[in-house]
Amino acid sequence: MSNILLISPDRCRGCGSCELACSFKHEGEFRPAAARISVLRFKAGISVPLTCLQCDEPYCMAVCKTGAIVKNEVSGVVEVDGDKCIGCRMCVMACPFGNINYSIATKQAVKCDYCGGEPECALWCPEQAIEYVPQDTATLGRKKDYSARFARLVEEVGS
Amino acid sequence: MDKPTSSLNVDGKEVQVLPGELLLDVLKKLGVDIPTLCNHEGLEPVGSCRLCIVEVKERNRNRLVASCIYPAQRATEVRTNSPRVKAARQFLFNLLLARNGDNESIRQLAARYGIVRSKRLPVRPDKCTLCLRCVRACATQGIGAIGTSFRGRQKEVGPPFGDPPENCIGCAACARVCPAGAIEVKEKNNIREIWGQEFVLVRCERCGEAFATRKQLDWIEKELGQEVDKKLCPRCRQRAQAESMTKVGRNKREVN
Repeated sequence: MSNILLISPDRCRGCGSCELACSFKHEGEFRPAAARISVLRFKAGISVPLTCLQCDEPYCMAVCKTGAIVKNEVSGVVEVDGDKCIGCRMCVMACPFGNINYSIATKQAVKCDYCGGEPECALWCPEQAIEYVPQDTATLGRKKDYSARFARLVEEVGS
Repeated sequence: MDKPTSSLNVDGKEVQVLPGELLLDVLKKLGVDIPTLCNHEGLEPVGSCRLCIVEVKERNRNRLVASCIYPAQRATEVRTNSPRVKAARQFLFNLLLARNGDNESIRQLAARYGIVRSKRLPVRPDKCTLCLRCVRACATQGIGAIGTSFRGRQKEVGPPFGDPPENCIGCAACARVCPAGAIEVKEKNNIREIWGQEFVLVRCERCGEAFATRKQLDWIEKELGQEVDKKLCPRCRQRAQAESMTKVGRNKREVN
C-alpha cells in the first residue's frame, strides 16, 4: 500500500522547515520560493502547509501532450519527466489548486515528488504537521476529521 | 522484460537493444557524449540538425546516420567518435556556425566539441537553426499553428503565409523549447505578442498578475471538458485553497 502526505494544519506553527528542507533537497539551497511545498500564513497565527495532492485524475497530466506528466501506479505520485517538458505551462494553468509550477531556470514543470519515497518535509517537520503515512481508511478518516476540526478551531479563535 | 533483443557493438562494447529502440537512446543510456540540437525527449525525432551523427555498420556496409532517427537493431556495429564521424561533425557545425554565427548557444555547443571555425564560409546572423522543435511542439499540442515555408537557403519557420496564425493560442511553448532563443515574445501590460499576433492576458483578480492568455485558458477548458479557474493566478489559487481549509478567507472557495 502506498503512503500519502497527511497534512494537519492545526499542528503547523509556520516555521517553514518543510520549505527549507524541500528546496535544499531539490535545488541544493535554502530558498522557500524554490520549494515544492508552501506554507501559507494567515493572521491569528494560522498556517497551512500545502503541496501537490497527487490527484487520482490529475488535470495537469490530462493537458500534458508530451507525456511529461505521468501518475506512478505503484506509488500514486504524479511524476514530471523534466526532459519531456516543452514549457507550454498548460499544467500550471490547469491545476485548480496552484500546486504545480514552471521553473524558468531549468525550463521544466516542477512539483512535489514525495522525494522518491522519503519526503524531507515530513522528516523535518518538528510538529508532525506533515506526516508520511500509509494510505488506509484510518488516515483518510483522519484527513477528513482534521479539516472539520480545524474549521471549528478557527471559528473559536478567529472572528 | 522478456522482449527479444539484438546485439550491438558500440565502440567495442557489446550491448543489447530492444526492437524499435532508437540508436541515440541506446547511446544515451550508455552515457556516450553526443552533440544534439533538434532532439527533445518530449517530441518526435526528425533528424533535422544531424549533429547526433554516428558511423554504423549495416549489412557489412559503413554509413553515417543521424542516430536520433535510426533504429538501433538495424546496425551491428556503431562508432561514435571515428575520424569519419569527427570530420562530418566538424563540417555540420561549420555550416551551423555560418548560418547562425551570432548564436551563443550554437557557439557554446561547438566549443564543447572542439570545433574549429572555418573562415571560408560567409557568416549569416540567423537565429533560427531550423531544428523544428517549435513546429513539433505546436503540432504535439494538436495546434499546428506554425510550419516551414520555402526551401534551401530561404527555408524559414513561421505561420502559413507569414500571417498571424488563427489557431495559435499564444502559449509560447514554441519560444520555450527553442534552443536558440529565436522566437520573440513581447509582453506589455496585459498583451502578449507572438508571431505577429496580439493575445489578451488574463489578470489575476487578487494580485493583478497577467498569468495566461485567454485563448490558452479556453484551450485547457476544451481539453479537460471542465471549467478552469480564469480568475486567480496559480499562486493565488494556492492561497485560496489554504483559506478554504482554514475558512478565514474573505472569498471562500470549495475544495473537494
